[in-house]
Amino acid sequence: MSKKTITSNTSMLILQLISEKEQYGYQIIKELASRSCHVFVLKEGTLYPILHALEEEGSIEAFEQVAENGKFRKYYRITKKGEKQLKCKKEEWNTYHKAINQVINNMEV
Amino acid sequence: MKENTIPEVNAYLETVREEIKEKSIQESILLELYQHMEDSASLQVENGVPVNDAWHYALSTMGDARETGRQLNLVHQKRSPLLPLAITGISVFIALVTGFSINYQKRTVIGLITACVIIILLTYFGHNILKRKRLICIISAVMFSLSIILRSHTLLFAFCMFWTLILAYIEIKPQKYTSYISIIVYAIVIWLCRYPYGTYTLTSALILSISFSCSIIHSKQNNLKSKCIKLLSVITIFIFVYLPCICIRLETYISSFSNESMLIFSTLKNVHFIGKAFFFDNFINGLSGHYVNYRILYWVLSYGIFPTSLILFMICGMYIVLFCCIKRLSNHNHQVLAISCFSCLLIQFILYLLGNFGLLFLCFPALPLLSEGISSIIINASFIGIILNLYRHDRILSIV
Repeated sequence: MSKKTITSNTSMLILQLISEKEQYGYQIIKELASRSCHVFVLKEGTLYPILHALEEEGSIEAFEQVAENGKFRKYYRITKKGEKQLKCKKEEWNTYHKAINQVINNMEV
Repeated sequence: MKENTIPEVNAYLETVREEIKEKSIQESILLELYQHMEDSASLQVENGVPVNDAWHYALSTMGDARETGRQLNLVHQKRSPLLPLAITGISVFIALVTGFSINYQKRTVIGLITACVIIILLTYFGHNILKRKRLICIISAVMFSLSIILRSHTLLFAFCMFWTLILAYIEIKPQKYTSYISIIVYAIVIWLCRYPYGTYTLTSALILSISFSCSIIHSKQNNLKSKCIKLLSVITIFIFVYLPCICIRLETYISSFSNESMLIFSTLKNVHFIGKAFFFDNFINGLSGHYVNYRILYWVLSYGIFPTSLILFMICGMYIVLFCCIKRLSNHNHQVLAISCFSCLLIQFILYLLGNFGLLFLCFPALPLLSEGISSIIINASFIGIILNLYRHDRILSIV
């Protein structure tokens, strides 16, 4: 899959993962890779500008907590604004996905 | 520099650091990136990879350090406060110039210069003061004492703002009962204020209550139950503390202000769309209050409805710009403090507006930044300076 397609929807995917469970950066990367069967494999450093931008716009918020390995990690959780934003992005994506499928299927037929 | 790692990791972190211009946030970002690599390397080590190779692997998955640093720098840039500063400056300047013929004094100009200096200083350096909790507590106590001694309602607004800041600190690390104790302390303060303030009690108390309620409403958005209990506590305290005060004193207020308000209201029905009202001089001289207390009324009588609307539109522009700045704040505690400051300013403006149109049968506070009183100018300029400072630094550091 092209890099452009992946990055344009990364914030939606990250929001979805954080909405399910409070997570820190490394967990998010691993979860994203495993759930997409390693299709969405980001350069790991590029995750943080996206996370910080989402935090800056108020979609997610950060807090410190002791992780499973006993060390302090910066966790992220979704806010109400983020939940609304995710809902909108999902609706947009579903419309887009449906339209693409319709076009492709017609062409194939 | 991190120990127990390979030099390349430190080089990576240093490259990211070079790209991030704001020194105050560099460490927290680098720590987060380092922890990410640490987790990645740990997993490799658990799978039997030698430590050095594990760190090399962790580093290779991170991508280009310079690009990551650049992206992070873009996210964490300071916002420019120049536009809100310019709009505030222009609206205050024009409003003052239009009022020069009422009461031109040296202190008017001194007041304007003082306001500008305070706003600019606080916008750029205010976070250095706001971060110091003990200093804030001391300032809060001094403001309250001075407001009682000098009977200055603007100093009471200042106390209110600093008190909200203390509440914001409490909200960050809530302990059992601290919120309730703060509410009780607040109620005692309001109760104490009833006597020395005399005629200013009602408006001051109103401003205090609303700004406090705002701070409560906007605090702890994730804990609805706690928020409702706190809000109910505030309303209960408000009723118990104010109701007797309002009942006893309202009659006194109405008797002294109602005649003037009705006179203003009936006079305003006959003013021109553009131009000076023919009864202007007699009417202005007949008002019991100082000219400055009726600045908007003066504009209506001396310039007409249309020019006054333009001036008011510009002043409103300042409030709209400040509100837009607050809306863009992402840090929750910054929002609480900024809303408290903004509500203090806005309520003064609304009360002044109502009073000038004969719609308020009570005495009203001064018009923010346009009052002749130096304490009012200092405090209201501080409110604006603090809002702009929070706006400027919101992305890069947590002031509260």
